[in-house]
Amino acid sequence: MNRPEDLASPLSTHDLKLAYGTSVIVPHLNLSLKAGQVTSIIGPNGCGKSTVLRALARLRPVSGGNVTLYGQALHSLPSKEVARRLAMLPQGPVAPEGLSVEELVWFGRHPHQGRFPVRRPEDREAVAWALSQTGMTIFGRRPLEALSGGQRQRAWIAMSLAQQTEILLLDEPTTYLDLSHQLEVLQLAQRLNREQGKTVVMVLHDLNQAVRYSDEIIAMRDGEVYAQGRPEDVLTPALLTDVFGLKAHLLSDPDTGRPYIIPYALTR
Amino acid sequence: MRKAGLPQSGRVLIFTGAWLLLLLALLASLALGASEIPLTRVAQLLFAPDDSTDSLVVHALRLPRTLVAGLAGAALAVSGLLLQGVTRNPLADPGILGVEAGGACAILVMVVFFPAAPSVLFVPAAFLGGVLAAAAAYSAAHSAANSAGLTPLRLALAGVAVASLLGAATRSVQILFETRAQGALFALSGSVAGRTWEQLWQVAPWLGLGLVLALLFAARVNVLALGEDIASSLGARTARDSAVLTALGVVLAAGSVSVVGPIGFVGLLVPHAARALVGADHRLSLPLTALLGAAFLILADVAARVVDRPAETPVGILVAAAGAPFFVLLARRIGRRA
Ligand SMILES: Nc1ncnc2c1ncn2[C@@H]1O[C@H](COP(=O)(O)OP(=O)(O)O)[C@@H](O)[C@H]1O
Ligand SMILES: [Mg+2]
Repeated sequence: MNRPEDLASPLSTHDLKLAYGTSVIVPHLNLSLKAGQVTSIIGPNGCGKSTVLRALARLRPVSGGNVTLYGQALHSLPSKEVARRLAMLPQGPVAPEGLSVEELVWFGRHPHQGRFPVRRPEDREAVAWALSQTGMTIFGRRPLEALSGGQRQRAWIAMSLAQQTEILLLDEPTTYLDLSHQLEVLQLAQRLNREQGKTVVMVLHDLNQAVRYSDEIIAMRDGEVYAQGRPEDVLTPALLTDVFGLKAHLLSDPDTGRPYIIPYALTR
Repeated sequence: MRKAGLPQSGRVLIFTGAWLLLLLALLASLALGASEIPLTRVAQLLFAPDDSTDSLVVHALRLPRTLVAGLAGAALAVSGLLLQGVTRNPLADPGILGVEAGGACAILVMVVFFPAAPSVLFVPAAFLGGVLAAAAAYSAAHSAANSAGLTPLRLALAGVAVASLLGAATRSVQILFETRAQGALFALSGSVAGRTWEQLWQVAPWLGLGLVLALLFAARVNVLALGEDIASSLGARTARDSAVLTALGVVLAAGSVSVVGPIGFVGLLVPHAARALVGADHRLSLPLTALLGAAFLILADVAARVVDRPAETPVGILVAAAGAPFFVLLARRIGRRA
């Protein structure tokens, strides 16, 4: 099972099968993420993006095959060790009433602490760093329910950052945010990748944002990987038709030279 | 705007207030009742019992009854807090898994069918009834669980089903054996009247241990309360932790039902009050819930003794009457938030 290329890959799947009860969502997935890159998963609603991301974070049981973390079988590792190496922010989390931003971010230290947590200096530093990276320092004492959607999302991201993991998985981190807050989250992901060398995997819906902010794109359709590669190689008219059922003009982004997509018709 | 996370001084104030309230409740409970004993005399008798009737009343009647009420109140309230946290259901309480219905049914069965059984068996029987009801709810939810697993909603629905089934059984027995069931009526409404030292010692180890464990596990409730996905991604072993904490909630509830009968609302309302005072951190809200739960049930029992003096009113009825308006308030608050 331990192929040499897996040792270099933060997360790989091997004949991974994922199902809810008897309905198989992902029949047979072989996927290998590249270290130190920003990877975006794109695909239509219901194609299994969240299901795959959750399996990569060990949030759901697998029906067959396995996931490896740098070549080690994910399911055989202790839960807290996984949480020290890999942080996952699921879609639309809800906090208990009355929880403050700072209290939430402190939970990010849970995997680093023992059975009876004490607040060590390095924990305090990590929390302060996570708050400042997300621009949430000034909101530390606020309860989450007294924040805007964008601020709340940044508070959750801060919690994941406080885990100080090398790998960060974000499921639709920009959904429900206005455009400037979307860019803020994407730039944060990019900065964490460039400055800290974190491996970032996101599920994104906006194709142009995915192209612009990712080193690698994984396009999914019906629980399978349709294409994986650099944005300029993956985002082709054929892919837009096959995966999204769209006809689109592809322009060239003046900044990056990558494709810029203007959909103009449905094919089905 | 409301700030989450009180300053240190605010917390100290709140906990001091809660301890004072508990002390006040204890003293009132020793002093008030069919006969009134002045506080100075209570204090004196507490440390130096004599042969007087007052001394007998304080030591043989009011002290065990007060301690039972306090322990049961704390246990019920903490049980509610644990279940609300673990299931992320703000309306969860010890009744949600059928514990109270199971305990009540067992009490009635003992009174009607085994009237000659030694009195020491009544408490364990009721305890067993509560635990078995919860186990039935759990396994019903488990066997019906599909891919989505054992969700809190599924568990709550199974609990409601078990509770109404047991409720129907209880009422049938009451109707079929009307005369013999008379003796259980008071107990079935929830009461601490006439509780003895022996009964206290039967439940104290369970409830005491349960409360200590709950305090030790408070930090884990915090993590679970973030929801299963977040808790797992933080490295918590959610299935194991929520099973352990649910079991703890069941033992606390069954222990208190076994000695005071079914008393609603305490497990639902006191945790909300505690959280409103100190916030979402269970390391604070759990001890506060225990203190307030104890004080609340003791005070309710004092009221039950004096409201229709010299007759006793079942404290469960009083709590229900006082609790209903709070419940409406709570529902409105939660409704507004959603
Ligand atoms: N808890 C669940 N139980 C049963 N089916 C589910 C569940 N969650 C998702 N699914 C199904 O799995 C498929 C993939 O869902 P998901 O991974 O959430 O898609 P995406 O994130 O790409 O929109 C969908 O068809 C959805 O209906
Ligand atoms: Mg999704």
